[in-house]
Amino acid sequence: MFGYIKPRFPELLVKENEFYKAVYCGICRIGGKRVSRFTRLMLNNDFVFMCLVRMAVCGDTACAETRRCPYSLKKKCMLCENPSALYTSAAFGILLYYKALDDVADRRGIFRLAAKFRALFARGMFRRADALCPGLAEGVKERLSVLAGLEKARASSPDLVADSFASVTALAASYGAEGEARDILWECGYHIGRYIYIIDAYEDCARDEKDRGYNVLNEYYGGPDRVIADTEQIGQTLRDSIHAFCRSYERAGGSVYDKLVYNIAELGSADAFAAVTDKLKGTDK
Amino acid sequence: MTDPYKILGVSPQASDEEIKKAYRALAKKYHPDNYVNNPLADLAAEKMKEINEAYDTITKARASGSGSAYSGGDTYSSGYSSGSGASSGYARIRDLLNQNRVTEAEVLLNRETDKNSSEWHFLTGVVYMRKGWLQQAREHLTLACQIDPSNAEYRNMLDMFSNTARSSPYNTTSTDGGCTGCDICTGLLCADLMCGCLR
Repeated sequence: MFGYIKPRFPELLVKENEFYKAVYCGICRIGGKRVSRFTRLMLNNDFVFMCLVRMAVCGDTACAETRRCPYSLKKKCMLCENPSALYTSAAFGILLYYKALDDVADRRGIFRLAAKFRALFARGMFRRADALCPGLAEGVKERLSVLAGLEKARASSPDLVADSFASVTALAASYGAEGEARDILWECGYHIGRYIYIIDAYEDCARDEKDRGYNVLNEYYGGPDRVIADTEQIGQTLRDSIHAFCRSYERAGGSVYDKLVYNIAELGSADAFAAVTDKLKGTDK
Repeated sequence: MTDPYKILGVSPQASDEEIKKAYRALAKKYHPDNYVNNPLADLAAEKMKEINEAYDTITKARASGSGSAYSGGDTYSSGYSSGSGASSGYARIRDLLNQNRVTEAEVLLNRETDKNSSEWHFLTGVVYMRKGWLQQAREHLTLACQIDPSNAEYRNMLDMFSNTARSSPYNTTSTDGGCTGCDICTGLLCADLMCGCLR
């Protein structure tokens, strides 16, 4: 997970901004306490969003308390432990472990040694996360192996490859939920996963070409120059994912987090795409 | 007929056992014996008939081997009516899509010989949309609209595909919901300015 999903902060009300920070700090604290301190170092905005969506769909009540921050002398307002925050931390731990294993397989030289070191640390974290979410790790592993197979075969359909990654995030987002909430979370997780996979491929298209690595957009369009030339089409499919996410989320029937969720989904994702496009075109400041 | 799964109050993914259980509960509730000398007897009999028909439809469909396969994806279950010129093959595909049986609909679409018709592109677009394969969904829906630009159903589907949630505060397309507080304030300010000019 890569941290593309974050709010457009100037558009948030002060209370929404404070609440977002409280959720971030809460997941950091809960993850550090119940899963591993390792998760604190790697936590990113994608999982904060996942937790917010889950809280909204499952109807978890959010309570916050002032606690000592492990990275600061100041006390901070943090989200109290609730099922959504706990599941999110555990899912994060599991995905982090598989990412570390993937890096061990992909990297070479000193980078591979560093990845092995990370995977060693991540093993304990994985065990605790697996105990909190039994069965999730098997599902994730199975889907990631399908993704690895497609990448190895250099599949060229963005929909097909993004589908296997999206099914991982869908599984993680909907784990433990039931009935209508499970269906909504599955769809929300799927569309966000698809968005993350495609925007990450878009950002890495030039680097992957240089390293001769696999990139689904390079395979589909024929190279980074053509990818950049077709920015409009990529932007369109990313917007389609976000709109599909919003329509699925709407089915949950509304909650106090709606404005924050829509801000992140619609404005934050547009900002992320604009920033990546500027970076690729060399027009970023 | 309305979606038989909706009548029984179960999802299309429900097991045979769950369907039977739902059917029995409803049959018990609306059985004519419970409504003897009751003014609601006619309504109950009608409801009972509907429940029986729904149960028969589901059991027959499942016995013929076309069981539920849908496992997720975007759900746009507004229903697709069979177009006037649609062949029986497309009508069957539309029925499957209405029941959320996406995989079976996809298999039938792949078997179709005419893959250039607007209907084929439209239904393929809907299948991809349900699967979450949005790039291909958009391509097929756009093609369907290009082949048959006068078809309102295709156009509506493409428009809906492009729209975000209606309740999103950032939805710029939903302007049909009357005026907001801001609109009223702006209107009053304009009126005040105009009155000031006339003095």
